[in-house]
Amino acid sequence: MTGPLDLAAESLIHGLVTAVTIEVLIRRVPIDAPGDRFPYRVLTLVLPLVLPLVFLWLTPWRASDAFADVALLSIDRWWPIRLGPVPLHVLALSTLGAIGIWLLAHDLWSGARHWWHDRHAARHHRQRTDVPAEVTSAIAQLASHGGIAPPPVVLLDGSAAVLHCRGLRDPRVYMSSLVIDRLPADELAGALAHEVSHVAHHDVARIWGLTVLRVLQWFNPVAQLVARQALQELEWRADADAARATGRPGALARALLSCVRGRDTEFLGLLGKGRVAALERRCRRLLAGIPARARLGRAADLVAVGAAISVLLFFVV
Amino acid sequence: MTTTPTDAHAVLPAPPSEAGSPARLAWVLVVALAVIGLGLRAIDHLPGLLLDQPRGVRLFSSVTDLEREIGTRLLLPAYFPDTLAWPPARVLLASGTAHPTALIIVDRATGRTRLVICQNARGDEPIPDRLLPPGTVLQRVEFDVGGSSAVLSRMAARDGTEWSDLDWVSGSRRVTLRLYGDDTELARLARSMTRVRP
Repeated sequence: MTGPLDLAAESLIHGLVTAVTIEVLIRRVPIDAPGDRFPYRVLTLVLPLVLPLVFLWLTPWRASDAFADVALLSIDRWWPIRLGPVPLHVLALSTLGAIGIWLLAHDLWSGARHWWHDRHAARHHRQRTDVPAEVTSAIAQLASHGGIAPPPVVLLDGSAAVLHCRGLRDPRVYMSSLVIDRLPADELAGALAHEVSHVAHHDVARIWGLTVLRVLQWFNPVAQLVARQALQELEWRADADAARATGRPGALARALLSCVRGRDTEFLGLLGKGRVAALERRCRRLLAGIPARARLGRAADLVAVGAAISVLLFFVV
Repeated sequence: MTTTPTDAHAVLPAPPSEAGSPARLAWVLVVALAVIGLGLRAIDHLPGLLLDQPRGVRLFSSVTDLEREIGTRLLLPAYFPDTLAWPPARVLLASGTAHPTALIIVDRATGRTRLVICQNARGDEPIPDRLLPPGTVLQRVEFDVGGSSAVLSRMAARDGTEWSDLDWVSGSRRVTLRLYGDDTELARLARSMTRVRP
Protein backbone atom coordinates (compact mmCIF):
# COMPACT_ATOMS: atom_id res chain seq x y z
CA MET A 1 0.00 0.00 0.00
CA THR A 2 1.47 3.35 -1.00
CA GLY A 3 0.63 6.12 1.46
CA PRO A 4 1.22 9.88 1.42
CA LEU A 5 4.56 9.44 3.22
CA ASP A 6 5.78 7.01 0.53
CA LEU A 7 4.66 9.40 -2.23
CA ALA A 8 6.39 12.34 -0.52
CA ALA A 9 9.61 10.35 -0.13
CA GLU A 10 9.46 9.23 -3.78
CA SER A 11 8.79 12.80 -4.91
CA LEU A 12 11.78 14.02 -2.87
CA ILE A 13 14.15 11.48 -4.41
CA HIS A 14 12.74 12.10 -7.90
CA GLY A 15 13.26 15.83 -7.37
CA LEU A 16 16.87 15.33 -6.34
CA VAL A 17 17.66 13.00 -9.27
CA THR A 18 15.97 15.33 -11.78
CA ALA A 19 17.72 18.41 -10.37
CA VAL A 20 21.14 16.72 -10.58
CA THR A 21 20.50 15.53 -14.14
CA ILE A 22 19.31 18.95 -15.32
CA GLU A 23 22.22 20.70 -13.58
CA VAL A 24 24.66 18.36 -15.34
CA LEU A 25 23.00 19.15 -18.69
CA ILE A 26 23.10 22.90 -18.06
CA ARG A 27 26.78 22.84 -17.09
CA ARG A 28 28.14 20.21 -19.46
CA VAL A 29 26.22 20.78 -22.71
CA PRO A 30 26.35 23.75 -21.83
CA ILE A 31 23.01 25.54 -21.85
CA ASP A 32 24.10 29.13 -21.25
CA ALA A 33 21.15 31.30 -22.28
CA PRO A 34 18.69 31.89 -19.40
CA GLY A 35 15.82 31.65 -21.89
CA ASP A 36 16.97 28.12 -22.78
CA ARG A 37 17.51 27.18 -19.14
CA PHE A 38 14.14 28.27 -17.77
CA PRO A 39 12.05 25.44 -19.30
CA TYR A 40 14.51 22.89 -17.91
CA ARG A 41 14.12 24.40 -14.43
CA VAL A 42 10.35 24.10 -14.79
CA LEU A 43 10.77 20.48 -15.92
CA THR A 44 12.73 19.87 -12.70
CA LEU A 45 9.75 21.13 -10.73
CA VAL A 46 7.05 19.32 -12.71
CA LEU A 47 8.48 15.79 -13.04
CA PRO A 48 8.74 14.98 -9.29
CA LEU A 49 5.25 16.31 -8.77
CA VAL A 50 3.60 14.34 -11.58
CA LEU A 51 5.59 11.12 -12.00
CA PRO A 52 4.97 9.43 -8.61
CA LEU A 53 1.22 9.86 -9.10
CA VAL A 54 1.27 8.76 -12.75
CA PHE A 55 3.40 5.71 -11.93
CA LEU A 56 1.12 4.80 -9.02
CA TRP A 57 -1.93 5.09 -11.25
CA LEU A 58 -0.57 3.30 -14.34
CA THR A 59 1.81 0.78 -12.77
CA PRO A 60 0.73 -0.04 -9.20
CA TRP A 61 2.94 -3.17 -9.34
CA ARG A 62 5.99 -0.90 -9.00
CA ALA A 63 5.31 -0.97 -5.25
CA SER A 64 5.81 -4.77 -5.06
CA ASP A 65 8.84 -6.51 -3.56
CA ALA A 66 9.55 -8.18 -6.88
CA PHE A 67 10.00 -4.79 -8.56
CA ALA A 68 12.26 -3.64 -5.72
CA ASP A 69 14.73 -6.29 -6.92
CA VAL A 70 15.05 -4.74 -10.38
CA ALA A 71 14.77 -1.13 -9.18
CA LEU A 72 17.86 1.07 -9.19
CA LEU A 73 16.90 2.51 -5.82
CA SER A 74 14.20 1.29 -3.45
CA ILE A 75 13.35 3.75 -0.71
CA ASP A 76 11.66 0.95 1.27
CA ARG A 77 15.08 -0.51 2.04
CA TRP A 78 15.89 2.53 4.19
CA TRP A 79 12.74 2.17 6.29
CA PRO A 80 14.15 -0.35 8.86
CA ILE A 81 17.24 1.79 9.63
CA ARG A 82 17.01 3.64 12.95
CA LEU A 83 19.08 6.30 14.63
CA GLY A 84 18.60 5.34 18.26
CA PRO A 85 14.87 5.26 18.94
CA VAL A 86 13.97 7.28 15.81
CA PRO A 87 13.50 5.64 12.38
CA LEU A 88 15.93 7.24 9.92
CA HIS A 89 13.23 7.96 7.32
CA VAL A 90 11.12 9.85 9.86
CA LEU A 91 14.15 11.93 10.85
CA ALA A 92 15.18 12.57 7.22
CA LEU A 93 11.68 13.42 5.98
CA SER A 94 10.90 15.71 8.90
CA THR A 95 14.26 17.51 8.60
CA LEU A 96 13.93 17.98 4.83
CA GLY A 97 10.28 18.99 5.23
CA ALA A 98 11.26 21.63 7.82
CA ILE A 99 13.95 23.02 5.49
CA GLY A 100 11.46 23.08 2.61
CA ILE A 101 8.86 24.92 4.69
CA TRP A 102 11.47 27.43 5.91
CA LEU A 103 12.69 28.18 2.37
CA LEU A 104 9.13 28.55 1.09
CA ALA A 105 8.00 30.69 4.03
CA HIS A 106 11.11 32.89 3.76
CA ASP A 107 10.55 33.58 0.05
CA LEU A 108 6.78 33.99 0.36
CA TRP A 109 7.30 36.49 3.19
CA SER A 110 9.92 38.36 1.17
CA GLY A 111 7.65 38.34 -1.91
CA ALA A 112 4.69 39.54 0.13
CA ARG A 113 6.73 42.47 1.50
CA HIS A 114 7.81 43.45 -2.01
CA TRP A 115 4.24 43.15 -3.24
CA TRP A 116 3.03 45.29 -0.34
CA HIS A 117 5.76 47.87 -0.99
CA ASP A 118 4.88 48.12 -4.70
CA ARG A 119 1.15 48.24 -3.94
CA HIS A 120 1.75 50.96 -1.37
CA ALA A 121 3.80 52.97 -3.87
CA ALA A 122 1.11 52.57 -6.56
CA ARG A 123 -1.68 53.64 -4.18
CA HIS A 124 -0.03 56.45 -2.28
CA HIS A 125 1.81 58.15 -5.07
CA ARG A 126 -0.19 60.23 -7.46
CA GLN A 127 -0.49 58.73 -10.93
CA ARG A 128 0.61 61.17 -13.58
CA THR A 129 -0.79 61.30 -17.06
CA ASP A 130 2.10 63.21 -18.59
CA VAL A 131 4.31 60.24 -19.47
CA PRO A 132 7.30 61.80 -21.23
CA ALA A 133 7.36 61.31 -24.97
CA GLU A 134 10.85 59.81 -24.87
CA VAL A 135 9.56 57.07 -22.53
CA THR A 136 6.52 56.20 -24.68
CA SER A 137 8.60 56.19 -27.85
CA ALA A 138 11.28 54.03 -26.20
CA ILE A 139 8.65 51.59 -24.95
CA ALA A 140 7.06 51.47 -28.42
CA GLN A 141 10.43 50.83 -30.05
CA LEU A 142 11.37 48.12 -27.55
CA ALA A 143 7.95 46.47 -27.79
CA SER A 144 8.24 46.42 -31.56
CA HIS A 145 11.70 44.81 -31.16
CA GLY A 146 10.08 42.15 -28.95
CA GLY A 147 7.15 41.65 -31.32
CA ILE A 148 4.45 42.79 -28.89
CA ALA A 149 2.07 45.71 -28.58
CA PRO A 150 3.47 48.51 -26.39
CA PRO A 151 2.42 47.82 -22.77
CA PRO A 152 0.65 50.58 -20.83
CA VAL A 153 2.95 52.69 -18.64
CA VAL A 154 1.83 53.91 -15.22
CA LEU A 155 3.88 56.92 -14.15
CA LEU A 156 3.97 57.57 -10.40
CA ASP A 157 4.90 60.85 -8.82
CA GLY A 158 7.06 60.15 -5.81
CA SER A 159 10.40 60.13 -4.13
CA ALA A 160 10.94 56.35 -4.36
CA ALA A 161 12.62 54.74 -7.34
CA VAL A 162 9.87 52.50 -8.71
CA LEU A 163 10.33 50.47 -11.87
CA HIS A 164 8.63 47.10 -12.23
CA CYS A 165 6.08 45.13 -14.19
CA ARG A 166 2.75 44.12 -12.60
CA GLY A 167 -0.49 42.55 -13.73
CA LEU A 168 -1.33 38.90 -14.39
CA ARG A 169 -3.56 39.20 -17.45
CA ASP A 170 -2.83 42.76 -18.46
CA PRO A 171 0.76 43.49 -17.46
CA ARG A 172 1.79 47.13 -17.10
CA VAL A 173 5.07 48.90 -16.52
CA TYR A 174 5.05 50.94 -13.32
CA MET A 175 7.69 53.63 -13.01
CA SER A 176 8.21 56.71 -10.89
CA SER A 177 9.25 60.12 -12.13
CA LEU A 178 12.36 59.80 -9.96
CA VAL A 179 13.65 57.01 -12.20
CA ILE A 180 13.26 59.21 -15.29
CA ASP A 181 14.99 62.09 -13.53
CA ARG A 182 17.79 59.99 -12.15
CA LEU A 183 18.74 57.67 -15.03
CA PRO A 184 20.67 58.84 -18.09
CA ALA A 185 19.04 58.01 -21.42
CA ASP A 186 21.01 54.83 -22.15
CA GLU A 187 20.44 53.44 -18.65
CA LEU A 188 16.72 54.25 -18.80
CA ALA A 189 16.49 52.47 -22.16
CA GLY A 190 18.13 49.38 -20.66
CA ALA A 191 15.84 49.40 -17.62
CA LEU A 192 12.71 49.84 -19.76
CA ALA A 193 13.86 47.08 -22.14
CA HIS A 194 14.19 44.77 -19.14
CA GLU A 195 10.59 45.44 -18.10
CA VAL A 196 9.29 45.14 -21.68
CA SER A 197 10.95 41.71 -21.86
CA HIS A 198 9.03 40.67 -18.72
CA VAL A 199 5.80 41.84 -20.39
CA ALA A 200 6.63 40.07 -23.68
CA HIS A 201 7.22 36.74 -21.93
CA HIS A 202 4.26 37.03 -19.52
CA ASP A 203 6.70 36.66 -16.65
CA VAL A 204 4.17 37.72 -14.01
CA ALA A 205 2.06 34.67 -14.93
CA ARG A 206 5.19 32.50 -14.96
CA ILE A 207 6.12 33.69 -11.47
CA TRP A 208 2.64 32.79 -10.21
CA GLY A 209 2.96 29.37 -11.87
CA LEU A 210 6.31 28.82 -10.16
CA THR A 211 4.78 29.85 -6.83
CA VAL A 212 2.01 27.27 -7.24
CA LEU A 213 4.59 24.55 -8.03
CA ARG A 214 6.57 25.61 -4.95
CA VAL A 215 3.59 25.53 -2.64
CA LEU A 216 2.59 22.07 -3.91
CA GLN A 217 6.11 20.87 -3.06
CA TRP A 218 6.39 22.63 0.30
CA PHE A 219 8.08 19.54 1.76
CA ASN A 220 10.83 19.46 -0.87
CA PRO A 221 13.83 21.77 -0.27
CA VAL A 222 15.30 20.83 -3.67
CA ALA A 223 12.14 22.11 -5.39
CA GLN A 224 12.36 25.35 -3.39
CA LEU A 225 15.95 25.95 -4.49
CA VAL A 226 15.19 25.06 -8.12
CA ALA A 227 12.24 27.48 -8.09
CA ARG A 228 14.59 30.20 -6.87
CA GLN A 229 16.95 29.42 -9.74
CA ALA A 230 14.02 29.53 -12.18
CA LEU A 231 13.08 33.00 -10.93
CA GLN A 232 16.66 34.08 -11.37
CA GLU A 233 16.64 32.75 -14.96
CA LEU A 234 13.63 35.00 -15.69
CA GLU A 235 15.57 38.04 -14.46
CA TRP A 236 18.68 37.02 -16.39
CA ARG A 237 16.65 36.46 -19.54
CA ALA A 238 15.06 39.91 -19.21
CA ASP A 239 18.57 41.33 -18.73
CA ALA A 240 19.82 39.45 -21.80
CA ASP A 241 16.86 40.61 -23.91
CA ALA A 242 17.43 44.19 -22.75
CA ALA A 243 21.13 43.98 -23.57
CA ARG A 244 20.31 42.62 -27.04
CA ALA A 245 17.65 45.25 -27.67
CA THR A 246 19.80 48.19 -26.60
CA GLY A 247 23.25 46.77 -27.36
CA ARG A 248 24.48 48.24 -24.07
CA PRO A 249 24.61 45.66 -21.27
CA GLY A 250 26.89 47.93 -19.23
CA ALA A 251 24.26 50.67 -19.20
CA LEU A 252 21.67 48.22 -17.85
CA ALA A 253 24.08 47.15 -15.10
CA ARG A 254 24.55 50.80 -14.12
CA ALA A 255 20.78 51.31 -14.19
CA LEU A 256 20.27 48.35 -11.85
CA LEU A 257 22.67 49.84 -9.34
CA SER A 258 21.16 53.32 -9.67
CA CYS A 259 17.63 51.96 -9.11
CA VAL A 260 18.74 50.16 -5.96
CA ARG A 261 20.61 53.21 -4.67
CA GLY A 262 17.58 55.39 -5.40
CA ARG A 263 15.17 53.35 -3.36
CA ASP A 264 14.41 54.39 0.17
CA THR A 265 16.02 52.83 3.21
CA GLU A 266 12.97 50.68 3.83
CA PHE A 267 13.39 49.07 0.44
CA LEU A 268 17.11 48.62 0.94
CA GLY A 269 16.23 46.73 4.10
CA LEU A 270 13.87 44.57 2.07
CA LEU A 271 16.63 43.59 -0.30
CA GLY A 272 18.58 41.63 2.27
CA LYS A 273 21.96 40.02 1.72
CA GLY A 274 20.66 37.34 -0.63
CA ARG A 275 19.05 39.83 -2.98
CA VAL A 276 22.05 42.13 -2.98
CA ALA A 277 24.19 39.11 -3.91
CA ALA A 278 21.71 38.19 -6.67
CA LEU A 279 21.87 41.77 -7.98
CA GLU A 280 25.65 41.62 -8.00
CA ARG A 281 25.52 38.35 -9.96
CA ARG A 282 23.19 39.97 -12.51
CA CYS A 283 25.62 42.85 -12.99
CA ARG A 284 28.56 40.49 -13.33
CA ARG A 285 26.70 38.42 -15.94
CA LEU A 286 25.82 41.55 -17.89
CA LEU A 287 29.44 42.70 -17.86
CA ALA A 288 30.74 39.24 -18.79
CA GLY A 289 28.68 39.26 -21.98
CA ILE A 290 25.29 37.90 -22.98
CA PRO A 291 25.29 34.30 -24.23
CA ALA A 292 23.44 33.76 -27.49
CA ARG A 293 20.48 31.38 -27.38
CA ALA A 294 21.26 27.92 -28.74
CA ARG A 295 17.57 27.00 -29.03
CA LEU A 296 17.91 23.99 -26.74
CA GLY A 297 14.67 24.78 -24.93
CA ARG A 298 12.43 23.63 -27.78
CA ALA A 299 9.45 21.44 -26.96
CA ALA A 300 11.00 18.43 -28.74
CA ASP A 301 14.22 18.70 -26.69
CA LEU A 302 12.26 19.09 -23.47
CA VAL A 303 10.02 16.11 -24.24
CA ALA A 304 13.06 13.96 -25.06
CA VAL A 305 14.90 14.99 -21.87
CA GLY A 306 11.73 14.58 -19.78
CA ALA A 307 11.05 11.13 -21.25
CA ALA A 308 14.63 9.94 -20.66
CA ILE A 309 14.61 11.15 -17.04
CA SER A 310 11.15 9.56 -16.54
CA VAL A 311 12.53 6.19 -17.67
CA LEU A 312 15.30 6.47 -15.07
CA LEU A 313 12.86 7.58 -12.38
CA PHE A 314 10.58 4.63 -13.16
CA PHE A 315 13.27 2.51 -11.53
CA VAL A 316 13.53 4.75 -8.47
CA VAL A 317 10.74 3.58 -6.24
CA MET B 1 16.59 56.55 -26.51
CA THR B 2 17.78 53.21 -27.92
CA THR B 3 21.47 53.35 -28.60
CA THR B 4 23.96 51.92 -31.01
CA PRO B 5 26.03 48.99 -29.77
CA THR B 6 29.08 50.93 -28.67
CA ASP B 7 29.37 49.38 -25.20
CA ALA B 8 32.62 47.69 -24.34
CA HIS B 9 30.66 44.62 -23.24
CA ALA B 10 28.82 43.38 -26.26
CA VAL B 11 26.54 40.43 -26.85
CA LEU B 12 28.54 37.24 -27.23
CA PRO B 13 28.49 35.43 -30.56
CA ALA B 14 26.56 32.20 -31.02
CA PRO B 15 28.34 29.18 -29.50
CA PRO B 16 30.39 26.86 -31.74
CA SER B 17 28.33 24.28 -33.59
CA GLU B 18 29.14 21.31 -31.31
CA ALA B 19 28.78 23.02 -27.91
CA GLY B 20 25.11 23.48 -27.09
CA SER B 21 23.90 21.42 -30.04
CA PRO B 22 21.03 18.90 -29.74
CA ALA B 23 23.50 16.07 -30.49
CA ARG B 24 25.67 17.13 -27.56
CA LEU B 25 22.55 17.46 -25.40
CA ALA B 26 21.63 13.84 -26.23
CA TRP B 27 25.17 12.60 -25.58
CA VAL B 28 25.51 14.38 -22.22
CA LEU B 29 22.02 13.20 -21.24
CA VAL B 30 22.84 9.54 -21.93
CA VAL B 31 26.14 9.72 -20.03
CA ALA B 32 24.56 11.63 -17.12
CA LEU B 33 21.68 9.15 -16.80
CA ALA B 34 24.07 6.18 -16.96
CA VAL B 35 26.34 7.62 -14.24
CA ILE B 36 23.40 8.66 -12.05
CA GLY B 37 21.81 5.22 -12.54
CA LEU B 38 25.01 3.51 -11.39
CA GLY B 39 25.25 5.90 -8.45
CA LEU B 40 21.67 5.12 -7.41
CA ARG B 41 22.37 1.40 -7.64
CA ALA B 42 25.43 1.83 -5.42
CA ILE B 43 23.42 3.87 -2.88
CA ASP B 44 20.77 1.15 -2.93
CA HIS B 45 23.30 -1.26 -1.46
CA LEU B 46 23.96 0.96 1.58
CA PRO B 47 20.96 -0.17 3.70
CA GLY B 48 21.99 -3.78 3.08
CA LEU B 49 25.51 -3.03 4.30
CA LEU B 50 24.24 -1.08 7.31
CA LEU B 51 21.75 -3.79 8.29
CA ASP B 52 23.94 -6.69 7.18
CA GLN B 53 21.07 -7.75 4.98
CA PRO B 54 21.35 -8.79 1.32
CA ARG B 55 19.63 -6.75 -1.38
CA GLY B 56 16.09 -7.90 -2.05
CA VAL B 57 15.52 -9.04 1.53
CA ARG B 58 13.19 -7.34 3.98
CA LEU B 59 13.55 -7.40 7.73
CA PHE B 60 10.53 -7.93 10.00
CA SER B 61 10.30 -7.27 13.70
CA SER B 62 8.53 -10.57 14.51
CA VAL B 63 7.36 -13.85 13.03
CA THR B 64 3.77 -12.65 13.45
CA ASP B 65 4.48 -9.53 11.34
CA LEU B 66 6.02 -11.71 8.65
CA GLU B 67 3.07 -14.11 8.68
CA ARG B 68 0.68 -11.18 8.42
CA GLU B 69 2.61 -9.85 5.44
CA ILE B 70 2.63 -13.14 3.49
CA GLY B 71 -0.83 -14.18 4.61
CA THR B 72 0.10 -17.64 5.87
CA ARG B 73 1.63 -19.27 8.96
CA LEU B 74 5.14 -20.66 8.96
CA LEU B 75 6.25 -24.16 9.87
CA LEU B 76 8.15 -23.99 13.16
CA PRO B 77 9.94 -26.72 15.18
CA ALA B 78 7.98 -28.04 18.15
CA TYR B 79 11.29 -29.28 19.54
CA PHE B 80 13.49 -26.36 20.47
CA PRO B 81 16.73 -26.86 22.45
CA ASP B 82 17.21 -24.70 25.53
CA THR B 83 20.56 -23.57 24.20
CA LEU B 84 18.83 -21.58 21.44
CA ALA B 85 17.16 -18.20 22.00
CA TRP B 86 13.56 -17.54 21.00
CA PRO B 87 12.25 -15.34 19.38
CA PRO B 88 14.48 -15.29 16.29
CA ALA B 89 17.13 -12.59 16.21
CA ARG B 90 16.13 -11.69 12.66
CA VAL B 91 13.05 -12.45 10.59
CA LEU B 92 13.61 -12.09 6.86
CA LEU B 93 11.52 -12.21 3.70
CA ALA B 94 13.18 -12.35 0.30
CA SER B 95 11.49 -11.07 -2.83
CA GLY B 96 9.91 -13.66 -5.09
CA THR B 97 6.53 -15.24 -5.73
CA ALA B 98 7.39 -18.24 -3.50
CA HIS B 99 7.80 -15.88 -0.52
CA PRO B 100 11.10 -17.33 0.72
CA THR B 101 11.57 -16.65 4.44
CA ALA B 102 14.39 -17.09 6.93
CA LEU B 103 14.44 -17.09 10.72
CA ILE B 104 17.89 -16.45 12.19
CA ILE B 105 18.19 -18.02 15.64
CA VAL B 106 21.15 -17.35 17.89
CA ASP B 107 22.81 -19.24 20.72
CA ARG B 108 21.39 -18.18 24.05
CA ALA B 109 24.86 -18.02 25.68
CA THR B 110 27.11 -16.61 22.94
CA GLY B 111 24.63 -14.63 20.82
CA ARG B 112 26.12 -16.12 17.63
CA THR B 113 23.95 -17.56 14.87
CA ARG B 114 23.37 -21.27 15.38
CA LEU B 115 20.27 -22.09 13.40
CA VAL B 116 18.70 -20.75 10.21
CA ILE B 117 15.17 -21.93 9.36
CA CYS B 118 14.35 -21.21 5.74
CA GLN B 119 11.13 -22.06 3.96
CA ASN B 120 9.14 -21.04 0.94
CA ALA B 121 5.67 -20.07 2.05
CA ARG B 122 4.41 -21.00 -1.42
CA GLY B 123 6.10 -23.61 -3.56
CA ASP B 124 9.02 -26.00 -3.56
CA GLU B 125 11.52 -23.87 -5.48
CA PRO B 126 15.06 -23.80 -4.10
CA ILE B 127 15.64 -21.35 -1.24
CA PRO B 128 17.54 -18.24 -2.50
CA ASP B 129 21.22 -18.28 -1.51
CA ARG B 130 20.95 -14.75 -0.09
CA LEU B 131 18.88 -16.08 2.83
CA LEU B 132 21.45 -18.67 3.88
CA PRO B 133 24.91 -18.09 5.32
CA PRO B 134 27.48 -18.75 2.59
CA GLY B 135 29.32 -22.06 2.73
CA THR B 136 30.86 -24.91 0.72
CA VAL B 137 29.30 -28.36 0.56
CA LEU B 138 31.69 -31.00 1.89
CA GLN B 139 29.46 -34.07 1.82
CA ARG B 140 25.90 -34.86 0.78
CA VAL B 141 23.74 -37.87 1.80
CA GLU B 142 20.10 -38.94 1.47
CA PHE B 143 18.03 -38.59 4.63
CA ASP B 144 14.48 -39.25 5.79
CA VAL B 145 12.34 -36.61 7.49
CA GLY B 146 9.02 -38.09 8.62
CA GLY B 147 8.65 -40.12 5.42
CA SER B 148 9.82 -37.35 3.09
CA SER B 149 13.09 -37.73 1.30
CA ALA B 150 15.62 -35.08 2.27
CA VAL B 151 19.25 -34.17 1.56
CA LEU B 152 21.64 -33.80 4.47
CA SER B 153 24.78 -31.83 3.68
CA ARG B 154 27.89 -31.07 5.66
CA MET B 155 28.90 -27.48 4.99
CA ALA B 156 32.08 -25.49 5.66
CA ALA B 157 31.37 -21.88 6.48
CA ARG B 158 33.75 -19.07 5.51
CA ASP B 159 35.11 -18.88 9.05
CA GLY B 160 36.03 -22.58 8.89
CA THR B 161 33.20 -23.85 11.12
CA GLU B 162 31.22 -26.91 10.00
CA TRP B 163 27.45 -26.72 9.69
CA SER B 164 24.77 -29.29 8.90
CA ASP B 165 22.15 -28.50 6.29
CA LEU B 166 18.92 -30.40 5.79
CA ASP B 167 16.73 -29.70 2.77
CA TRP B 168 13.35 -31.30 1.99
CA VAL B 169 9.82 -30.59 0.77
CA SER B 170 7.10 -30.64 3.42
CA GLY B 171 3.70 -30.74 1.75
CA SER B 172 4.06 -28.03 -0.88
CA ARG B 173 6.80 -26.11 0.90
CA ARG B 174 10.55 -26.29 0.50
CA VAL B 175 12.23 -26.20 3.93
CA THR B 176 15.93 -25.87 4.71
CA LEU B 177 17.45 -26.01 8.18
CA ARG B 178 21.07 -25.04 8.67
CA LEU B 179 22.47 -25.77 12.12
CA TYR B 180 25.79 -25.29 13.82
CA GLY B 181 25.56 -28.51 15.89
CA ASP B 182 25.21 -32.24 15.55
CA ASP B 183 23.07 -34.10 13.02
CA THR B 184 20.92 -35.74 15.72
CA GLU B 185 19.73 -32.37 16.97
CA LEU B 186 19.11 -31.25 13.39
CA ALA B 187 17.03 -34.37 12.67
CA ARG B 188 14.95 -33.82 15.82
CA LEU B 189 14.33 -30.22 14.82
CA ALA B 190 13.31 -31.25 11.29
CA ARG B 191 10.95 -34.01 12.39
CA SER B 192 9.22 -31.62 14.80
CA MET B 193 8.46 -28.97 12.18
CA THR B 194 4.79 -28.13 12.74
CA ARG B 195 2.76 -24.98 13.00
CA VAL B 196 3.17 -24.99 16.78
CA ARG B 197 5.27 -22.24 18.37
CA PRO B 198 8.41 -23.45 20.24
